[in-house]
Amino acid sequence: MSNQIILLVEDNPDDVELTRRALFKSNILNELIVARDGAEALDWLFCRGDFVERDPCQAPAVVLLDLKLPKIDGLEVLRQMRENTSTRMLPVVVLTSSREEQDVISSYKLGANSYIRKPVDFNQFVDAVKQLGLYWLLLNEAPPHKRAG
Amino acid sequence: MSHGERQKSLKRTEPISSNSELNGNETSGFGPQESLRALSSVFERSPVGNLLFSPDGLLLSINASALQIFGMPSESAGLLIGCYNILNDQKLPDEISRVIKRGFQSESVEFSNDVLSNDGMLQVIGQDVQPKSIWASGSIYPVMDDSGQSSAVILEVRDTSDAKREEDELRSNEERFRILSMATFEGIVLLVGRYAIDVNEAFEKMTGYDRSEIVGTDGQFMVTPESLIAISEHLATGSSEPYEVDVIRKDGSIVPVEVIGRSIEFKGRTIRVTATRDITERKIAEEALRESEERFKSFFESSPVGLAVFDADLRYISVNKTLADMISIPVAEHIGRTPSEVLSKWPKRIPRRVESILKSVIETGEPVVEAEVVGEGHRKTARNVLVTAFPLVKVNGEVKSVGNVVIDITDRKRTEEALRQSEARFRILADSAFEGLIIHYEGVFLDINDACLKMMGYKRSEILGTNVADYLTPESTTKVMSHVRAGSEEPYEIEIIRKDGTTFPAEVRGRAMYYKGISARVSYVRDISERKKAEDELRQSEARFRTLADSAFEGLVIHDYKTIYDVNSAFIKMTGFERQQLLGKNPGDFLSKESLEVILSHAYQSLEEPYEVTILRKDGTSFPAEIHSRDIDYKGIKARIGSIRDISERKQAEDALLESEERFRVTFENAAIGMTILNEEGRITAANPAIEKMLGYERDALLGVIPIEFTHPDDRKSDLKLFNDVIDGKIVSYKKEKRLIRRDGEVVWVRVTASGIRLREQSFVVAMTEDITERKKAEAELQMLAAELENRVHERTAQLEAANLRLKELEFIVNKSSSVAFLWKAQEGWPVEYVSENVVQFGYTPDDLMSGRIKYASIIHKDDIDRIANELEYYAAENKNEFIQEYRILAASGELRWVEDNTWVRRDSDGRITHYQGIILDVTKRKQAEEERMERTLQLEELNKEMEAFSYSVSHDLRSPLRSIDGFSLALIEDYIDKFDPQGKDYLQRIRTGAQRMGMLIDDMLRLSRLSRSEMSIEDIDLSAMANQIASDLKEREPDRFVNFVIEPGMIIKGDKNLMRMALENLMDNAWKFTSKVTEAIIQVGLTCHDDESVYFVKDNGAGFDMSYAPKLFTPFQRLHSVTDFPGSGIGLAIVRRVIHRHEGRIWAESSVGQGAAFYFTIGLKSGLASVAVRKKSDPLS
Repeated sequence: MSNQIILLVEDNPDDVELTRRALFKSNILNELIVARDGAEALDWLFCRGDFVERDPCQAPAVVLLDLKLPKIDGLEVLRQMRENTSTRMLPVVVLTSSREEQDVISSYKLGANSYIRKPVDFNQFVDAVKQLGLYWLLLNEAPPHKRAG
Repeated sequence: MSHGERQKSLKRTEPISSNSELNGNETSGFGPQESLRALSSVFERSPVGNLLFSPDGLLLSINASALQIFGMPSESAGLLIGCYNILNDQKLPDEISRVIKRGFQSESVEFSNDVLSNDGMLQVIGQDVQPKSIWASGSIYPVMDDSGQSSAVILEVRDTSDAKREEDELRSNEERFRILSMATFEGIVLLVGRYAIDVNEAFEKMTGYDRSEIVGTDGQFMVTPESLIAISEHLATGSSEPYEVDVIRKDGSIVPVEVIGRSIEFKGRTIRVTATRDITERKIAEEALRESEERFKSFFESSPVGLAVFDADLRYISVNKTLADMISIPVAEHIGRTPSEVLSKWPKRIPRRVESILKSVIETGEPVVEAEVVGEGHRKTARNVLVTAFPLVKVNGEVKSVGNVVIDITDRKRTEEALRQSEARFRILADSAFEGLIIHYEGVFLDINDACLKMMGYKRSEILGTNVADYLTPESTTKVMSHVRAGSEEPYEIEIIRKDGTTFPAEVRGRAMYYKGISARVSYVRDISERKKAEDELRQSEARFRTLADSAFEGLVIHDYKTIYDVNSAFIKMTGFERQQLLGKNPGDFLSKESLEVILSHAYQSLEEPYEVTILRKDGTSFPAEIHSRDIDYKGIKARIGSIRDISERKQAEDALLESEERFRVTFENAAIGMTILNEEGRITAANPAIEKMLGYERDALLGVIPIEFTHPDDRKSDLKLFNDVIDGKIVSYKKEKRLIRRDGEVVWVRVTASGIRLREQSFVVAMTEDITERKKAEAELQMLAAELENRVHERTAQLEAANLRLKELEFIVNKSSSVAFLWKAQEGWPVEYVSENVVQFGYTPDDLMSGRIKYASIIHKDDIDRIANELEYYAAENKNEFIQEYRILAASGELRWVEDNTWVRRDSDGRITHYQGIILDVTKRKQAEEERMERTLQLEELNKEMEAFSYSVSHDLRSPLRSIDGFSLALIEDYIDKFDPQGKDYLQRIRTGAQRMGMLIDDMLRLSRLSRSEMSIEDIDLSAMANQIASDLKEREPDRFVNFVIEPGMIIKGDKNLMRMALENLMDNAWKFTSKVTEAIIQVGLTCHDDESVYFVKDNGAGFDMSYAPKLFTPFQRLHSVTDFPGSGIGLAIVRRVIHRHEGRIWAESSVGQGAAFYFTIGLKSGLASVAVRKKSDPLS
């Protein structure tokens, strides 16, 4: 469990910090990689731009994806992930403030595995992150890892 | 007993009780003084007149009744008492005076119906009072004192005038009745019960019985049994209606009698006075009238002429069948209607003419005789009728009804017409003859032909009507008269005088003949001047021929078989020889060999029979001749004279005849039409194969038969008459179409042309029979077709008329409507064929368009024309014949108008589009409104989008900082708890609470805004089930609370399930919340009705609220209670109101503090009442 990576796509540093804290408080101590916008997230996922050097075999156990992002928004990130064979099967949990019906539907349509609304009450947030980590990192059987080359 | 009656009865008893009081007084103390008063009171009040006199006659007392009887005023009593002396009253009638005197002589006397008078009293009082005689009864008696002396005399008087008068009247009535009953002609019987008590003389006379035989009987023997019943009935009912009975006289004869009875009271008994009247005469008259009416009726009904009776208003009272048949309108349809009404389908002038005839009769009272009315029925059957009208019933000189006789003379007219034509034919025939022809009646010229006029040198007009004798020599006149009288048909000669006075001989042959209905004489006249001249000349010729004058035209040869002695010029002419070549020659030289032998054989036998020979001419030809020879003494020689007649022409004629006969025979035999020859008896003497074939009989079966046997029974009628007319020479021929019946029973239509011929002194009729069955069939078919055609024309005309009318109505409607009707051709530019007048609303006149000046396409907006054309092509390809298009057209003012065009496509028989038919409606205003609406919708959509973007960013961006505040505050509490004192910790907690609360507010706000935007899906909602669900959710949430939910079952509404649940949840949640401090909480969800509207409610018995805050209740974030008392964001009711509004309903609340609250709402969507119905149906117990 501990060697698995979590990719958090989030532009708000407060939310990054709170997520980190929530993970920590839930004893999820996996490596957390943070992408500050959609473009960075895609570059990281597809090992390009600043992340050309990255080992493509190092895939995250779960991607925590905010929808409202600078440059490329979360839904577009999700769409490109699902179009690319290397990222098609990655578990994606949409983690966002919005509870707009439209966002929920679009996310699932594009192949999100889960949709979680960030509650204002931090205790509830910690609870949610705890559940999420337990499920995706521990209970869920990840898709067989594909190694390029 | 009613109250009023009780009152009355009480009152009635009062006098009695007072009387008894009086009686009581009487018995208690009754002295002499009282006794006298009582007596005088009785005296005073007595209804009997009482007068008290002293023994010497002086009036001592008189009571009111007596005064009244005597007609005296009441105040006169004082004047009379002591003054009036009855014994001295000289005015009293003697009789009563005597009675009174006796009274005064101590005798008690009664009197009845004696006359009193007041004259004596009047003398005493000397006042102006009416004198009066009184019929009175009464008594007078003395009052005796103890000594037996009369102390006073009392006169009691009763007025009997009325009784007396009645008695007199009765007596006089009885007398009158007696006299009357004796004098009257009517038989009178008086009956008591059933028995006769009296009869009068008339009755005795009527019945033949004596009075004594009738009186005392019930008269049963005098009436027939039937009458007895009638009498019993009338006696039983006491009826005074007249009725009829049959009376049996003493002699056994029966007399009809009319009886009228009346019951009267007579001498205290009910008497029936029965008057009887012998009505034999009347009965006879009635019977005659009935018979006459019957006769008239049967005449009326069976008359061959049309009969009708009209009232003064020209309405049919009655009409017979003949007339009804004549015009083919049933009898019943005439009655009560005028000719104009009855003949409504006929040309108007016919009934009008009839009505004018009737009117003239009514106005003048004079009959109109045989006015001719030519009518044309609606079936084009011309009818000529003679109408005779005459006044039938006149009252006071006014005509009340008109009789009308109508004779159909159509057939007569036709015959007359035919006759006229036949006459014309006859005239032509007669005029074309060379022979003179005259027709005269008793010597007066009726007719004369051209040939005869020519002979006589007169004109027809000069001759007609003049006497035959004027043109004849006296001898000739005598001759003619004798022939005419004898009826001779032999020819004879007369001398006729020409106009120029010259005369000429003529041969005349006359015969009788019917001419225009009279037995005239037709005479053929031949001018024989030439012949006469010849005859005269002959007479003057040689002497030796004088004896042979008769044979002057014939050739004469005198010979002795060896030598010819003489010949006449005729013979010379015949033979062509010169006289010298003939004389002295042997006759044999001029004869054929055979002829010579014949001649010789005749000569030897001295035969004088004529015989035929062949004589040779000079030119070697020969001619047949007939020779009459006889011996003659010629200049002393015994010779023979032969008169020779050239019979070549006769021979030729005979040959021709033979030939002709043969020809006829061949024609007869081979003719395609049936031919028969009938003898005078009408029997077939010859028949040709065609007729055999036509009838299917062999010739032998036809010969001797009368053809009528083959004729169809319906056609036989006129056959015989026509045949006889031909035989009698009345007509030359006739043509007739009729049906024959073939041997096999089939019917053949034929046309028979029969002509009379005279052969060997016998009359025959040649009948030519053509089979016209086919033609008849064709004719019948044609007729049927024609009738059908006519019908169709009628129908079509009616349809057309109706259609026209409809069309006009439609046009009117169209022109009244704002829709313009167009019809334009499917040609370049769409030329307009028709447009309704209301096109003026676009500034054009119908003429602008229909004349072709403006084509329809040219007024369509340029930007639309291509689209329209494309659409038309599309519809044409789709075979759509009806569609709607919208486009702009240019009004004449240049203004653009949007129109909606309902187009129908017209196609020809090949399916090609010929016309477009459009109804064009100006929809400019609608279009403008639509555009405005569209714009508004767009604006709204924009706004909505903005709103969505706004709420999206609110939900995202507003919540993030809150999460930070909350999260980091918690981090501080958790990680740096030892750095804060308790107050610091409290502040941190407050920061967190505020952030969380703001999060909730944001969520609620978003929910509220989403509510307005989300789409609704309407379905049936079981509100009861929903409420139950929410109730159980609430109970589960706080299981330790006890709340009693009362939810009405079966509430069904129409609405959006999610929204409705949100609303109901909020309402029930509120109720749950606000009853948290009540021990026995009750929450009701139910339904009531207000003004036929279903009103749902959620009611609790919780905290309630002050109604003064009610208006704020549904405002978002408005709270009426503190958060600490009842938590909540204050958005709930705002959500409920929005949901209810979106369901087109209303919501309101009723409450007061501590009394609980009730929230009512309605659902405007189609639901309310239905839900009640459904509820009742689903729960039969409620």
